[in-house]
Amino acid sequence: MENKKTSFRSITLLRTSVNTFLGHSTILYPLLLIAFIQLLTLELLYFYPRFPLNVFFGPIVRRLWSEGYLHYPFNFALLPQLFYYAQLLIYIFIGAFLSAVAIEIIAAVNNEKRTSFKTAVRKTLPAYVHIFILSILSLSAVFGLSQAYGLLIQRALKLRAETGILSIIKKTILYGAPYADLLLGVIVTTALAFTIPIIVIERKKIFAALILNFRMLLRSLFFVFTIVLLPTLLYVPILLLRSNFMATVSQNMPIFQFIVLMLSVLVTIFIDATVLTATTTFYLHKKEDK
Amino acid sequence: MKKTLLTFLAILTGLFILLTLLDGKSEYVAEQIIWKTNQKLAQVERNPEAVPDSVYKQIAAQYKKVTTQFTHTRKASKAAILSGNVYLIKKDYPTARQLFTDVCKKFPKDTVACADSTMGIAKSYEIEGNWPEALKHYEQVINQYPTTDIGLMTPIYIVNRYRANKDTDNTKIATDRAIRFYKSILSGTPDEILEFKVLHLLANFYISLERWSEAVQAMGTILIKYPTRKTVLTTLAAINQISLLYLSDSDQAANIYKEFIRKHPKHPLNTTLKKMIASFQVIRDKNISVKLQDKK
Repeated sequence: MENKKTSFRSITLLRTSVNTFLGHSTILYPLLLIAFIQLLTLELLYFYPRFPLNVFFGPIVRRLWSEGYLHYPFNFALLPQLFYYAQLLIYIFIGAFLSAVAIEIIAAVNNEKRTSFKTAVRKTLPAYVHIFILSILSLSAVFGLSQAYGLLIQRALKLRAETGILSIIKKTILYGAPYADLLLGVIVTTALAFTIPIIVIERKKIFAALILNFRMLLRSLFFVFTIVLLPTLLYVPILLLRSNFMATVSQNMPIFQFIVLMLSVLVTIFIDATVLTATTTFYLHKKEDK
Repeated sequence: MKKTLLTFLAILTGLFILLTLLDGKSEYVAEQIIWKTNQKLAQVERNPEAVPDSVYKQIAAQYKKVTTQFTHTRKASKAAILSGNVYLIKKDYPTARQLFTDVCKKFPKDTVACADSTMGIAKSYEIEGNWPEALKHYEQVINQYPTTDIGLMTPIYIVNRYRANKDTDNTKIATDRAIRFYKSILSGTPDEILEFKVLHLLANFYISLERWSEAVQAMGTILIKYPTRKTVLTTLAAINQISLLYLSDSDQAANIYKEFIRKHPKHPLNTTLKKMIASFQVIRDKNISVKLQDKK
């Protein structure tokens, strides 16, 4: 019964959040900027084997991977990996900060104050270092959990069972890897859900923000988990596309890799906008309740 | 917001167009055209009789586009050969031969392309059933382009062809010629890459002929001359397997390993090799024979 109530409340909050950012396009501005930077990077990476970008990328790809990846269609096999590395850098240096800017705008909207992107950037800039450290912390947490899952995969590979419960466990662990990664991302986002809002709104430093975050989270863990999980489920079709169609379609149409990556950027931005608005709104309501 | 979105979109589209135009005639674009055309050709190959002439023409035209518009790239000659292949599949052998002949006229300095196109001519005669003419062109490949990959493979191809036809006399003649051919390359001053390739071909050729001792000798030379190649472990395994299973004599292998240790005293494999030499000694002393186990 309690769970039903929670999911009903989360859906209401998520719906309100979507309406909020659609109604106040200023919230979307920093997130669209992240999407733009990511798409621009993806576009540059799409052209990496071609002149003039191959002058820069050619030696790197040759040294770190092989000459083959500078030729069509093998460059598309490397593209997702290169884009993943680029996304990490974008997130650490710009993405996390722009998310914080979005939170500043959401807070202003909730308080019915007028604000602009420029003002929000100015207000958030002093917290850059804390947001930067937090982005590294959250990525490290995701990496750590992924490594742990990697160990589980290695263990599963040692299972010789072809039938029965052990075989089901093995298949679930092996084929479920992309979904497990998504779930690990949800867990880390949930665990740090209020940290950026606390840094941005309360002007707290990273460690104080982390402590406050965990205190607040303990009282509403499941609810926060659902408001992070539900929008993230929108990413499942992208994973399905990648795991089910990538191998066959990209054999005949290598550019499919590029299209799926583009789609994933757009879907991620929508998910981020929903999660950020929902968690910040929830944080502000909690604060008011106090 | 709309203005911002339009600006973002304009930048992305503009950059895409700019980067596409900057690289309009590069090797990468040629690769793209060839790959897409190869995909179409692979579909045609599944049922060549059912495909209308216009499709063959379209495919050949795509390859021709690369040959004529991307002349400065390495793919131009490759595309020229591929257009010959289109007509091989179509079974229009005179056209195929004409296109193959044109390759070497257009790209006389590209020995690989010349070898491939001469091979194409030979193949067309062979498919037609004109073996003497095919053989003439295969020999042309061997004589004129002996150090290309195709040139190196052709002597073995001829042997296998005779062997498949159970032509014992010609198999023997072609086998002797092939071995003489490889040995003549080795006795010259081949560069490392060529020598490594030839030794490998020769070793595998001896294996296919079941001339085990010569196979082990060729592999031993590979092992001693190229101790840092990735193939070291597989070569070692092959020497052991052949010595124990087929030769039933490990002296030759032991001598190779001793020579290896003498020439490369600091090689990381030396401890393993010493153990192997000791094991060979045990096998010999105890008169143990090793047999392949039948898979049930």
